[in-house]
Amino acid sequence: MDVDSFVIGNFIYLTLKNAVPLILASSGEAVSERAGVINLGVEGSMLVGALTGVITTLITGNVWLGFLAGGLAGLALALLHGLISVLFGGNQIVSGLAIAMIGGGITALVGRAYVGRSLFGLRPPPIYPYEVPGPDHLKPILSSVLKQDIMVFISIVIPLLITYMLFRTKLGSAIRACGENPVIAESLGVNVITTRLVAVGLGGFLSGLGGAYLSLGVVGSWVENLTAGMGWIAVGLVPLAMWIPSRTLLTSYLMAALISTSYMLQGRIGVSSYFLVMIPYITTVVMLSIVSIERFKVRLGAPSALGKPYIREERLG
Amino acid sequence: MPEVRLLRRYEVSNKLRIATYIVSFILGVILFILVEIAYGADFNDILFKLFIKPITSYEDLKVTLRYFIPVGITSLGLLITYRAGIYSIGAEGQLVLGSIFVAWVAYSFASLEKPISIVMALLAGVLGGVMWALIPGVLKGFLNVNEVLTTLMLNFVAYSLTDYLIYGPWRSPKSFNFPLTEPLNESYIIPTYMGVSIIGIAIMISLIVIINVIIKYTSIGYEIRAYGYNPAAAYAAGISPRKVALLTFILSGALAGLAGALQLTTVHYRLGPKPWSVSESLGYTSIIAAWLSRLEPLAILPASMLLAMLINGGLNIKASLGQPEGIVNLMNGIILITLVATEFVLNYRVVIKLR
Repeated sequence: MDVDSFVIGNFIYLTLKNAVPLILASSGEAVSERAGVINLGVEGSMLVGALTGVITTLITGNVWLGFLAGGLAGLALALLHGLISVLFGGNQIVSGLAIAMIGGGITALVGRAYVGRSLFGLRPPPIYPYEVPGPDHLKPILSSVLKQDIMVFISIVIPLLITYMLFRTKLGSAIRACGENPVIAESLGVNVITTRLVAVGLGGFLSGLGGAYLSLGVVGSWVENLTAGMGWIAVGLVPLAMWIPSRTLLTSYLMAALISTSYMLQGRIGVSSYFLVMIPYITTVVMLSIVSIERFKVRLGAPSALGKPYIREERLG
Repeated sequence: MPEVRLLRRYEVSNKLRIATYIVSFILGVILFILVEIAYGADFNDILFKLFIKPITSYEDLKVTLRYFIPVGITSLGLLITYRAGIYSIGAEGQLVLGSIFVAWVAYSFASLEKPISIVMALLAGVLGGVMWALIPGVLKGFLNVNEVLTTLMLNFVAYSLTDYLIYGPWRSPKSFNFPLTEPLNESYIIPTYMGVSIIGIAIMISLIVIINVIIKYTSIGYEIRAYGYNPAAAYAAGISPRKVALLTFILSGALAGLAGALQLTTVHYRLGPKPWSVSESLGYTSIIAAWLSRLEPLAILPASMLLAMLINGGLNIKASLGQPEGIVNLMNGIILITLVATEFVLNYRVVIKLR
């Protein structure tokens, strides 16, 4: 196909948009894993957030309330995971898996009445609603950035703020301590259970927000299983970002660029679109394998207590 | 105010263990029923459809047994990986690949006669499952790549592969534009007796016995259990993590692939698009069956029977209320989460002191 400024503009536009759910979900998951809790329920939180966002926006007519409600719905589902895996000391992997199933199932059931309901006029507005200035051949590229909504820019700031929180504040060091060695953290006066719940909740909120952006900002309506594996890819991006939230920006934009490329190539080259659909999944497997090679792993810094339930010896409740 | 104290439990009696599992399962079913009632179902009707109809009416019993076989075989394979502390959720993809391989053999060697054709088909299914399982197995064994993510990603890839085949090169010209492949040749179809695949049930039961012996009474089984219990100690005792990862993935892939082969040769006879595809999401359901059995091979039998009943009942409810496909997923998720939640009772003792 011909590569001109329209194609480039379209590519940038799609990549910036597609990256938002990935950035939000994977930087949230990074916080959760830093506290030692794997949350495989990201896909479920995203779906619940996406549907709640659509319903709230349709009822209130305000897309920002939709985003807020989406985030809170994701938070609620993640706290269920927190209840089981942190408070009850249940298996994190199995609990997360169950959360993902519940999120998928409940949104299929509730969302049935909302399939195809148009959000016309309720989408987040572009930050620059006027005619884009500049020479004609640069216009598509300029507008690919200027016509984005504010969430695209908020999603860049959030991982930076979270990284600051994680590495420069007291709460952050408490979270990391819980992920490295909960027993020592407890002895230093950190409430491991509460801290882990906060981290899981924050992760769930951001996943829900990412899901809400997928339905409100990217697709513009609700369909069953809207995320189509996006949440799982977000979980896969966390080790690639070495559990540092700000680096999820890099990995998410890379993945989003790949996804946009595979959209744009569909029907244009001689490869079946069913193979193009596989690209993000295969890439995740390949990249996970590369960062797992021992040489890289030394610098990775996975939280040592990741995935291990912490059961307190005795507790007043 | 009464004072509530949570005390750590160090030893759990078997009686308590079994009682909590049963209670939690019942709790899960009740939660699901409550959701259904909120969506306009009738309490008695649901109980009837979930627990009575699937085993009393012969037509429904046939359907229940049809799910019983693949869920039993696949969850048996998953049980092996979970015993080793390896969390594979890739049975779905391995099952799909098994069925693709069977179809490939059946279309390539259409003229083969029974029983060689059947043996070939089952072997092809096993091979397909093993090959697909070896990807995460090798990655886990040699590079210690997180198996949860790789197996899941490969499930998506397996779905897309099926889509490519049924919309592309294998699409039957006689399927009226539906994305279906040609039905298998007569020689590749395993006969059923009064609608029940006796052969499938026989294969499943013998496999359960074999795996039970392997896990409990052989050195390989000992290594798998030791590694699952404490990987560091097992490594110190000279057990190779590489061997455990490869072995458990090969076994579970073989069983999932076999289940896929049986699905194609006894139930579906052709590949199709997702909602009616060969896998029917049974690879995910098997995860719940494996946890329901508490990783006890002999308990796979009642666990997979229960889940087969629930799937059948759930689909009946779904059909009568016009609910979406995801409803079975919801049921699975609720039951799975109540099963994990029992850990609370096993980890803590609640003491209430009245002041």
